[in-house]
Amino acid sequence: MRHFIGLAPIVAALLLAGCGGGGSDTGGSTTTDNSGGRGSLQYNPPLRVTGLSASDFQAQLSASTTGKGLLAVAGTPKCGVNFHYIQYGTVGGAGEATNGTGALMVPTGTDAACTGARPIVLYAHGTTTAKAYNIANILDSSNDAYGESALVAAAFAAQGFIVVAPNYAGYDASKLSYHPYLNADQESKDMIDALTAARTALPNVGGTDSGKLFITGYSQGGHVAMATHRALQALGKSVTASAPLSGPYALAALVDAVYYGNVNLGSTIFTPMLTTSYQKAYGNLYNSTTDIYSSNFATGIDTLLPSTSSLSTLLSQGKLPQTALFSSTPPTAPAGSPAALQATLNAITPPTTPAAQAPLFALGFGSNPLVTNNARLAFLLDAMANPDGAVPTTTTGLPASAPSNTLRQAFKTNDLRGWTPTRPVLMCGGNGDPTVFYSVNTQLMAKLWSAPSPLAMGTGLLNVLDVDSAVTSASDPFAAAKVGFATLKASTAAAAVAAGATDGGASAVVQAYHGSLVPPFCTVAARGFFQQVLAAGL
Amino acid sequence: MTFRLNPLALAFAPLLLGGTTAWAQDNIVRVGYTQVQPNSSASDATGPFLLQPNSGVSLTVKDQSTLFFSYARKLDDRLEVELAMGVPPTHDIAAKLNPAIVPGYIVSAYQGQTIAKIRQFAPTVFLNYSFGDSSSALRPFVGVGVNYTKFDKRSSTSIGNSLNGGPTDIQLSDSWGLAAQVGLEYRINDKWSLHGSVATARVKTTLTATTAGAARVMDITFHPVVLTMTAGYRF
Repeated sequence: MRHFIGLAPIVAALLLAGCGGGGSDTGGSTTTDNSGGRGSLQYNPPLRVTGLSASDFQAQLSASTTGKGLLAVAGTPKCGVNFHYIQYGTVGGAGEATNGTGALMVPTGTDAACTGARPIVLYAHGTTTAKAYNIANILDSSNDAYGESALVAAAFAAQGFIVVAPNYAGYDASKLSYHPYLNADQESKDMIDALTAARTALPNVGGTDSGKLFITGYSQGGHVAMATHRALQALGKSVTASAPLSGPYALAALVDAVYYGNVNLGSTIFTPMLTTSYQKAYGNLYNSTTDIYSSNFATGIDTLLPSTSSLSTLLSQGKLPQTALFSSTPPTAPAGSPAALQATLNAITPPTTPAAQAPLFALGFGSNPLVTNNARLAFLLDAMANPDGAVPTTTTGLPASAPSNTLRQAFKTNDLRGWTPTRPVLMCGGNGDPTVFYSVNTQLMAKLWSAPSPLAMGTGLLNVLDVDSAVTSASDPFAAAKVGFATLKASTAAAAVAAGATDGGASAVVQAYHGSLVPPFCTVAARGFFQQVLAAGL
Repeated sequence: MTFRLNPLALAFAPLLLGGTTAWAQDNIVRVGYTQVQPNSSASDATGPFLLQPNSGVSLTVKDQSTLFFSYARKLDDRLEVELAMGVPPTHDIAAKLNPAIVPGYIVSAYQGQTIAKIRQFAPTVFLNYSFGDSSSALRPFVGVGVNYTKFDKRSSTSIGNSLNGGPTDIQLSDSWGLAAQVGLEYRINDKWSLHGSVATARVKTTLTATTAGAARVMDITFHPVVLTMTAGYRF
């Protein structure tokens, strides 16, 4: 044993020979900020998801029919794009501390349009029920956000704009258990916090901020973009221009229209997302979900969306009705009401005028509806007693001054009428939009922001584009968007007819209108508008 | 270095402590050259921004040579206990990307590139049994034992950081497993001998690569072939 023990130190010495310090060398440093404070960037530099050269990106898009279509609208990429994944601190709908994630897209390459200090586009995505929505994930075409990620990258980043696109609190890796949907205060804070975090990251990911800030977004994102412009303006922060696209800006007017029977496509999804959002923020919408929802849907609906299950799964499981928001049996007027009230309720269940939209509205009614007649009636009685200035008839154009129904109060709180942007704005949409009605949103805002309205914007600052309209003249700056939209709309109808549709493809156009037909053209029109603002040095 | 208590190691303890001292010259130190062929097979990585269920992103651990040394103690004419070690070798880790899954521009930039380096420290205790007569110069032997592998030093290369998306922390879990060897000993004289062996061990680890909070994980199984040539000195 003597030998063995005597050898032990030698063995130990040998073991240590040639062993420098152990441990892990990350080949660089990452700063971690777990404070969770508003606008804090959790990991700096943020994760680079991938880096596509301009030609890689073009090749990737060229590999699919959708991608080819996108290239045709957005143009050939001039820049490569580095996709980064940012994780930032923000707040929820009740001001509670939480976190969000999103994309930071940085143009790369040698083209003059891609180098040096670049303008930032702060982009707000549209409504999604997919909890895993991650607009930074350009690598996974099965992610629900892939299409929007590619669109934004092609329209903006590949043309030289830095893009900041939050997924919003409540999505992807956010700890928030719900999404503060169309909560103007929260969503503008979420956007501003993502922007702050992205600006912190930029020096570490090879991006330089030119100081020019553009804000855009589609659908829900149109509302978010406008709310964010308003919030930054109120904070005295610089906004170069904004382009809200197809958004429900006059939210209270839109929802009043829906309750009056003009049920929009997608209403059975929007209703629970809105109701949950406002219940979390204000706490006074209901005591029990059955106060609003029919018993077939009331259980668990407050935690249903966003979901890890696909929408089709939720529909097939009966968690939500496909389109029936309201009962096809009219609500019963309260005892003692004038006879005219019951007649009105009958006439809007469902409405039969205007004839062109009657089939769309009829879809919103059924025998197994989402919302109870009691809830609809309470809403309508308040809408009649304290009418919106734009629905059902135009008076002031502004929200009701003192709604008493708590739902209507919540919609008024998040309605974007009543302010005036001091920087250029483009509002884009399509007048046939079956989901976010053009007339009570884009048209209404445009009217409020034009002389002789007291809220009129400065001369030349307001631009409005209806992609579903005729080219006005040879110098129409939006001719390409209008022609492109008309072509896609026609080919969508033709494809439906070829597949056996007997309605001339009208139904297929309605289904595709808001989610597929309008977005690329309005998004690329927004880019053109931003480039024009830059070129004009506005 | 913290060794966890292991039942297999305990099983060898009586051998280490209680061996016979009947032989005058019962200690052997061997020093030589060893080549470690890890023959790794790694699962597809899982984690953020990787496709499911198969990401097509994996790796290979490359071969490495190093200085070998061991200490052995004779228990009797046929049995010895050997503690085998070496200067811990640092292996290159190469990206292994499935072109059917991973986009072409990523494959062309990273396929086969060294994305990380890992240093492994792998002491192994063998119980060796020698065949033939103790007086013969040439004696084959077989050994079974226990291997402990610790990946004590890991570094991500700049290419690895580029593939992973930023500075990357790499961790690999320790491995305990059975080991075996076969070899041949040639006795030059009472003091000196030459010794050649082929050894293997069961080594399994889980690699976690963390980049800006995103942890990507893969399981790696090694089917190592360790070729060793040594000179032994008996005392």
